[in-house]
Amino acid sequence: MKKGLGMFLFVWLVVVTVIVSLSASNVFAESETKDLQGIYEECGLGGLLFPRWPVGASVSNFTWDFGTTASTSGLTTPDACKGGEEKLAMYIYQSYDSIEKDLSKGDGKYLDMLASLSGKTTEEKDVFIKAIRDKFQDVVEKDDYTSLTRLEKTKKVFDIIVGELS
Amino acid sequence: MMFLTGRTLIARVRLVFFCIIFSFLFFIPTFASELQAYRDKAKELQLAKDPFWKDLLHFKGNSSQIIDDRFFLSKNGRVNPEEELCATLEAYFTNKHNIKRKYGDKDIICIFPARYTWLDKKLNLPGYKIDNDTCPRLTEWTRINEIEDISLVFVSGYLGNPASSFGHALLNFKLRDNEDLMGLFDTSITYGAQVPPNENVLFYIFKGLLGGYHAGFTDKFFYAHDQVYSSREFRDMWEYTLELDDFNRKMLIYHIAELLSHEYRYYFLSSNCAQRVAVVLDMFIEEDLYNFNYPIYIPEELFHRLRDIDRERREKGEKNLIKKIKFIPSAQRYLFYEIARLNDNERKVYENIMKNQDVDFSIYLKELSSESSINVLNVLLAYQYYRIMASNDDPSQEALKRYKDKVLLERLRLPAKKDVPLDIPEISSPDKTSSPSSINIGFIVEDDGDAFGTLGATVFRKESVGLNVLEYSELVALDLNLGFLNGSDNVFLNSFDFIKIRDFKTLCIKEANENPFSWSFEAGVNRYDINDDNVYDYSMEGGVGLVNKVKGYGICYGFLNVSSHSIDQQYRMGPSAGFVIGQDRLKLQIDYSLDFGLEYYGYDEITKAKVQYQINKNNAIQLHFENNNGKRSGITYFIYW
Repeated sequence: MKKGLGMFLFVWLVVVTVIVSLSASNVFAESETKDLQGIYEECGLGGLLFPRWPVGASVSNFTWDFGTTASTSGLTTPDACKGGEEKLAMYIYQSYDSIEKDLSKGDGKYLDMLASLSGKTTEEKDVFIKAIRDKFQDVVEKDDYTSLTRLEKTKKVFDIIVGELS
Repeated sequence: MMFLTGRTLIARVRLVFFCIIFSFLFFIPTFASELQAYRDKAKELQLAKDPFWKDLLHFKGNSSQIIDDRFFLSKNGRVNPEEELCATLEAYFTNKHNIKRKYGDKDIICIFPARYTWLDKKLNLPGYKIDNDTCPRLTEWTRINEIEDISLVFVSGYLGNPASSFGHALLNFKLRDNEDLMGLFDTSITYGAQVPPNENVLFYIFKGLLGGYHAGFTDKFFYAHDQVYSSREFRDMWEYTLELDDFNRKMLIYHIAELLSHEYRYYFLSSNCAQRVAVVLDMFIEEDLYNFNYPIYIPEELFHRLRDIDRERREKGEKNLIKKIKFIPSAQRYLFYEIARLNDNERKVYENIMKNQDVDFSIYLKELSSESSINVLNVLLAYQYYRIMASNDDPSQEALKRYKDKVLLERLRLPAKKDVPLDIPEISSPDKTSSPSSINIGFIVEDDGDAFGTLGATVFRKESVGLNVLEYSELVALDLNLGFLNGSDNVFLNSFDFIKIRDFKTLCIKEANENPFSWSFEAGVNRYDINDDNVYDYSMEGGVGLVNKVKGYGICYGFLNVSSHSIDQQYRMGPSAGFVIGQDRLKLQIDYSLDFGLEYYGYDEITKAKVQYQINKNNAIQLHFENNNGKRSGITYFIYW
């Protein structure tokens, strides 16, 4: 009897472990393959895609995005939105102009932060920045750059970084 | 492998079922008795009456200022701290509670970490632990082990938005070793009202003043605020890093975590961004940082109080409250000094490019070395971002963006170059200037020989001749001045300024031909004739003008004004000119204006002069003279508080 119950619990434990692991890896896989559009949509940041107010408009004292983007740093956002990629995507989108300006110079605090978010050490930073600056130049050389939306531009930079990291 | 028969399986199920029932029967009384023991202990220690417990629940008087039920575990928690304490203990021991969360940690200890950390300190709760195992989401958000300091950021007043005119306050959780990155990924907490999109301006004002909006704390990374305040609204910031011990720092972070997404009622004058931050911070600083007796609270007051506490501590030889103060210049100030750094050749080329924006700028760049081209393109590009931000999505933005992208590409084609830090002169931090409110006593003599005393109070006083962070601009709100006639007990209203603003554009980027106009607006009541108490002029006046800053001396300006009055003539228009000279301690301002009537020919000539001597940051003497349908001169003593 004891041996039978033990076996039953063991099998049950194995099955549960396998199911949980599969679920976890599914979540991971989803997160890995999620593109930028997916990040913004899934993370409840529709306000960023279709802003009711200009991006970066004043939030001082009075604010208007309370609730929709209540926690950009992730206390109560969905699980799928707290990873490094999501944080990186948000950062590029919200700071796009500053990142673009720093990329043009090849230096600046926003660019340093971008390297840091991408997991680059101080020693690796300069090589990393040079590589993304060169690729960014290719993007800007194309005629349609000005006509791209902020999200499309963000995607370009995001893809350059992801490509550089892979 | 052994397979179970039907009977054996049923027997096993019965056994498991029995075990479960037994566990319940055994543990429920244990939980219940343990809970009761802790409730008794809490009662014995009178924890429900402890001011800190009430602070954690945000009580003011007999009820909490938090208006949504999701913050309370007990049905009567909003008005009964004792019931809330019982419910808080019960939730701890049973982990059953009514707080619904779609995402994030679900355990009650993770939802109210500050409450339980405090209760644990008082009661030594069994099994109390907040870490990555018990509260993974909370631990990730708080970054307790990575947060080194707490700071308060004062964002200077933004005259472009009435709600932001008096400044703003942010609370930052500062990451260790993040200084070089200007704290871009520090957690930044702000308090604000939920205003519906496209809100009518009148509703906005009335609802803001009368509590018509709900409000709450929200968190962002600091870079999001940097983008708005520095890059878009061109507001300078001062960051005050505070000395808090480890426990208080942790408690403050935990308490903010439990406050996020909960709602208060918003009152622009009293229950505003700085007041809420002050109330929370007050819980973790021994001295009184805030008390609820303030009928009106202005963000700057918080920073003056911090300085006072810091000074008192230093005098007693205790640990400082303020660790350091950092000035964060706005993008506009940064650009101003970036342009100023260009050498003569570079500046010439830059000015040529700006004057001839239809011409391909690469022609001008050929005159320069590669190094100088880089300098000019950096400034040119910085200016394009500045203009795009300042243009506020108007139709000209498309052309601006196209031009900006041309400059961007040209700069990308040249090599990268490390930024050389700019030497930007610091503006005095708010705590080193006069406090925002004032009372005053004075004496006025009129040209008919009448003399009278004056007594006044101002809710917000930042005059051009005063000591403040607005440099030479002026913002005075709710300024009441009463007169006392000599030799009688007659008290009368001498003047009342509802609002008086002069936004002097002293940081105008002239080389770029940008809109250089300054503006002014004032609304109030002025006594027209001392001999007739009934004659008051209710007036509103607005103007646009130009200002020129003379380095080291002051400013001079000229305006064109229009006004409406309650006395004859009702509608007027005319030019004015003036200057302010002097530095922090002593400033002189002279204004001369002509007011032409628009109903029939006639004009008034008005001269105003005042000189203010700052005895110290909170005491000043002002001599003033006015010639407007009669001469008045006087002396006033100001006490700022």
